Amino acid sequence: MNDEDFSTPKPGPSSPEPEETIRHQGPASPSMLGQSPEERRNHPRFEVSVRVHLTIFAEISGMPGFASGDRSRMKVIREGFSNDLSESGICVVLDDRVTGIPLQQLVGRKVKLHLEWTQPDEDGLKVLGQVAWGREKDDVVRLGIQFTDLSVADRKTLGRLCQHDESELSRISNLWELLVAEPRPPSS
Amino acid sequence: MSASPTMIAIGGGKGGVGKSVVSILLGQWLARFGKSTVLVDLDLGGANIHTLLGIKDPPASIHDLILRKTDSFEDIAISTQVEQLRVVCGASEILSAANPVFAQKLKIVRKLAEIDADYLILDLGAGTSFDVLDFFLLADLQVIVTTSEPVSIYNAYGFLRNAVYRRLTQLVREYPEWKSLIRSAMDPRNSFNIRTVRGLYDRLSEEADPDLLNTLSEETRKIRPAVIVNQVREPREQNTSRILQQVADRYLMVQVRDLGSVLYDPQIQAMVSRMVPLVSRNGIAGAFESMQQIATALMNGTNGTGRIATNGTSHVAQALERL
Repeated sequence: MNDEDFSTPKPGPSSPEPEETIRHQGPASPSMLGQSPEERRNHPRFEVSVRVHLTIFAEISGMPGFASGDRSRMKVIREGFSNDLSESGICVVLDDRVTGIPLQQLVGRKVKLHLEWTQPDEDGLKVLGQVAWGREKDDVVRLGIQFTDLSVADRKTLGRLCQHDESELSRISNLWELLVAEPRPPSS
Repeated sequence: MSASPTMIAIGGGKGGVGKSVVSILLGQWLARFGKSTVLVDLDLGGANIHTLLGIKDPPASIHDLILRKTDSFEDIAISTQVEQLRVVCGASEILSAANPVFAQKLKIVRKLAEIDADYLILDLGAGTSFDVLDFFLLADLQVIVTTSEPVSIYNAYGFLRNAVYRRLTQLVREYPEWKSLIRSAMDPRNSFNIRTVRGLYDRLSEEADPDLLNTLSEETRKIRPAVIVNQVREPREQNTSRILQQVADRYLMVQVRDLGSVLYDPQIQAMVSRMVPLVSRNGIAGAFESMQQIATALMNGTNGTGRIATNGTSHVAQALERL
């Protein structure tokens, strides 16, 4: 995907080095084990427009940026969108920065994703994943997320989504829903 | 003052998105920054710049040039309340002016290049007629104005799409078989299953001369429009330019630049309704402030538009050749 697509003109005062990418160095998720970076990308990537409701979980209680206490509070929820998707992962552009949590802390975190798109015959997809890398440039945060524990049905749904050939007008419509329209609250 | 003015075309397909207001405010700021600027109302079917500037009965208009009453834009460029800002009024009340014949269009283009100014701002009409597209394509900076409403974005994209295909058909006019293919490809549901300009090039590469293919590719790469999102009420609406960037890149192989956004400003509507000249507003706020920032960035080339600092002569010469 083209990094310039989502750039904004004014770098934020707290931005780290431009285009600095922080990669996950810790234990890999089961689906990542034994794979080289090249192998991890062996699924073709598709420019499919989806809205992403992202729940990021803390690893331990008291992590910076996460509420401490019972486990249900050890999470942050963010909205974002993507048009860079494969059957193994997704690049998510967050609507807002995750304040209070250094990018390094986000990488490696377990996440829950709720993907929504505008095809009328689909209800969206809820899957688990792990943040494989994070990048912040011009105040725009991108997270590369590896899907984990995909069911056969999930894979089929993703496959259908990835093969969907958007027309120009439907792509404009989908992007408008993702980028301009008021975000809809995630369905439970 | 430059030998030949830098031409900025303001287009966008849909009527009512604020092309004329953006043109006037941009012209005002360039003039206030000391740049000699001429606003040219090329909305030949619905000229309204003079009204927005408070000129009720223009003493001269582009019609005088078309009817050969004068031979120069200098004679019909009227001074405004703003020093360094002149305006060439349109002529919508004259039916023949709305659809200039080929020779008249050629004359307008030639004479535009002769205007003694730093900047020319061409306020184009709505729609995607060949006249509008040709004036848009000849400019040094091609600006598309849109609002964040879907219908406005569709129209802005359609305008750009038509401009790209217009340029392509001009380039292959001596190759009837390719001209026919390109015209077919304009239909998004064409029988050749060509869905993108890249797909079109792939198809052409099977049979067309590689030199022709290179020319097409180079010429379409030169189309680098800039987008202004007008009447922005919410920060999310600024993302409208991203939509055009992504769709144009994917389907047209055109890199769209983001020139910025203009805040929704109820005072503008109030001034238009009361026929108060837009350039008479005191203070800098709302849409006026937005356009000040856009004009500043444009002059400094900080919005990726450094290219427009170049002299426009060669661009116009190329346009004349195509016409």
